[in-house]
Amino acid sequence: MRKLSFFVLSAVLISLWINPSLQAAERVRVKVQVLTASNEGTDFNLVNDAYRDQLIELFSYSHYEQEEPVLVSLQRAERSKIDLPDGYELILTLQAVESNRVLVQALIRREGRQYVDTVLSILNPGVVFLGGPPVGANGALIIVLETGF
Amino acid sequence: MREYKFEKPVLKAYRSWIESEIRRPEVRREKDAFVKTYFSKPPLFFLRPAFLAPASSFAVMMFIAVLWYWPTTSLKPGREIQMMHREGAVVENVASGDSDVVVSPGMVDVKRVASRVGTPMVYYKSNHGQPITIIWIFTGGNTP
Repeated sequence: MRKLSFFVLSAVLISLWINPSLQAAERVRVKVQVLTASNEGTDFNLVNDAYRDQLIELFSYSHYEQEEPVLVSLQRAERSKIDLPDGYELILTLQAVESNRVLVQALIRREGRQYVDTVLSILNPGVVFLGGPPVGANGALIIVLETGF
Repeated sequence: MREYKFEKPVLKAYRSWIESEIRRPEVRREKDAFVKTYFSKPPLFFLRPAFLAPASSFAVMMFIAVLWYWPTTSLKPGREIQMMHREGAVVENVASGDSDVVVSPGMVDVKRVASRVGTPMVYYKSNHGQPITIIWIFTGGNTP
């Protein structure tokens, strides 16, 4: 019995030690572009003007303000927190990496309130827009997640 | 019942004789051998029911707590709306940031979406004939 217990404990400890090193290989880089949109003014303050036409096509706001893009290296099951304007925070968690897709959980919250909690299977490379959390009086937060850039 | 004077010393002598008999090394050895043969050893501390029962219930509670609070696998009820539809197969380049990203209709599959403060909506909007996945939270104003 004592030998069996020792064996089980050793197996558990070894698996705990091996697991993180196996997971370390699964890393995915995600580019997070943060924009605040509103109808106050008509300025497009974008880091890259390539977004301008796309934003006009996709949304009907007249004013956009883009923050500096943030590059995040996601490790499996590890949560990465990104501070957003107006006290919001974005939490990204890599859930799985398949052959050409990545499974990412994106959570936007502020003061403990969960604005959006989504699990996305994104083709690598891929892009997805998350938006809607209110900013200021009439503005909204828009987040663009890019993988495989 | 009447007690005789000699009763106590006799009982005492008898008891001490029994004790001395039991303490004899050969009797002890035989007793140990008997116990070893017919009785199994007590299990280790962490395998005893007295430890396993509360430990397993605590583990179950912790598991439920993790499921409850972990955003990935939330058991909490939330308003969930999934509106997903696919458009025709179109592949083209869309400039984004500093690089061109090739996207396709099945580029993003929304596995789950929920919100505590508004109504989430998943939709695809065409950009130069290219479906872009947008997840929007309607919080009672600020529509896209």
